[in-house]
Amino acid sequence: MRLEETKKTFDRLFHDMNKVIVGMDEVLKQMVVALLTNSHAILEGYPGLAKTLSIRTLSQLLSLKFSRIQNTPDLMPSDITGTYILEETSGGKRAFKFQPGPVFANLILADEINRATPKTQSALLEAMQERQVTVGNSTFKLEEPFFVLATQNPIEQEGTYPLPEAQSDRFLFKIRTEYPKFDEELEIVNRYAEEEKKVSLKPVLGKDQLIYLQSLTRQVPIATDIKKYAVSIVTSTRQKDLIEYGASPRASIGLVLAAKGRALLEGRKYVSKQDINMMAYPVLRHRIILSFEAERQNLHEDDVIKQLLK
Amino acid sequence: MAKKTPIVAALHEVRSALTQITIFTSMLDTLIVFLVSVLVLILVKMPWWYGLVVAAVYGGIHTYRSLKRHRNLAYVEEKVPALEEQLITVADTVEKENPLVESLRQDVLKGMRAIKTSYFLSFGRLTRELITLAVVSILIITAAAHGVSFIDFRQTLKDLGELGRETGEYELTGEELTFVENLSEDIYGNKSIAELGSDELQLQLTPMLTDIDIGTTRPPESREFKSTLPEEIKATTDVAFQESIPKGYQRIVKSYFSEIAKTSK
Repeated sequence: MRLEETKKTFDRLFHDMNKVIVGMDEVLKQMVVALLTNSHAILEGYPGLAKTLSIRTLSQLLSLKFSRIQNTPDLMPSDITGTYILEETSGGKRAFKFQPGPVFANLILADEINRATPKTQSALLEAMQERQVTVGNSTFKLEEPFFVLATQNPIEQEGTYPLPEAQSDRFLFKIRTEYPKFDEELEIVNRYAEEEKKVSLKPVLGKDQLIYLQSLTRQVPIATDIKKYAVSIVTSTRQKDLIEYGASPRASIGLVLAAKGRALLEGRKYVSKQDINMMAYPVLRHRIILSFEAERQNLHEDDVIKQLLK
Repeated sequence: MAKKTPIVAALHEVRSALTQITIFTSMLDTLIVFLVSVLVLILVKMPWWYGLVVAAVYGGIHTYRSLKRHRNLAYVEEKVPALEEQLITVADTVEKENPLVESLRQDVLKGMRAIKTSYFLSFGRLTRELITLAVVSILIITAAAHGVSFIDFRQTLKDLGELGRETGEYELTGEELTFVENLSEDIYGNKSIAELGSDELQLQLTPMLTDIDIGTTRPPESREFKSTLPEEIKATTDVAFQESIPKGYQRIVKSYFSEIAKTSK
């Protein structure tokens, strides 16, 4: 793929996604940026806001191996990583054979991740971090590219196991899905409440193309001043009264990388300040813990981040 | 040290052009400051070359500040919005080599061709400055030719110095200006008065001492004073002698005088 073709490829990708998804442009962009930066993302929103649908649609447009994990409290780590099964060979001998779990894929949809027990969550999060799985005495490398796009909803907290801060830090983005606007919702009704039309989606991006785009993302040049600006935003989270715990240096790396990804997505060959500002929300919102003062003022993470960007 | 690639050369060219423009405008500003200073100095009858000092100080500070601001590529981006954030990015990544950086360099090089010197020169400001220069020059020539001056600054300074000497005796010394805090209760005054509050104070003067009986008054007597000086004024001196008389003789002399004293009674 040539450099000039990247913008066309992204335009085609979003065009096809919009055949299924109405609105949610920023959510879709952030999901693709997560792919470009070879990172994971968690989508949070109320039920029925097309979190799962958008991930499934994206998987159809990428010719990658896709698997879905529906998290429940009784899901075991081996259900994710895989396990050894006893297999009888043609000679009548019995031997243990490793049966890979759903984690052995390129794109994983971890639906309702907060419904899994901490033990199961840890198994998945370890795979996310190390990009390998250890079962018994054997370690298995996961195939590149490897993405986890998880979902969770902020309500119905009963019977859930919220991700600890240290573990949610593994996700580059926390993407918030919002309710659609009136016109968008009307379009959704028109599209899905009438005669059922099957939308056929063809892969737009292959594995090699995606890996090339990932390397291209890291090559996007960034001015020193803009890099300093990104770092100053992250460090300012540690000095604000409204924030109890600020973001780690991993957030600085993530913010610069995400801004590069967004620049490439927009067809720009350089990172702009606007990229940093736009990416600061999904990168920082799950990495800061608000203070009592912020809660007293009824402020949310995004409100505090908005103050940081001023 | 970056290799002399086209982009490095172009950035160098932009920076040197900016330096030249900045120095030119700074010199123009300094010249105005110099001429205005000269005009003021002529009007106050001071040596004109003091203006050189003012202009040198102003020129130094102004040029340094302008160079610091204008040699920054952000200034170029401010004037050429098409290159916004790109020029600085390219300048910061001259050492890097990858397809994206190279492609960005080509874009920036294309954009830099559109940069004109006129972007950094304000012709309106330049015109105003040239007019100011002309006006101030005419004023200087006129003032110098006709010997116009409002005050003689040196004479005024001299007068002020003399005035200072005259009033010198009233100058307070440091010791006199020392503040001493009075912590005694005296600062509150008489306690009995303090306690009076807002009560009305009744004062009565003794009539005996103050009343005047008009019937007993008479015109003042005219008295003549006589001189009581002694008729003869003379000065007397007293001399004491101490004789070295042996103790035995002293007794004889003493009894001699006491005998005389007895007989004279």
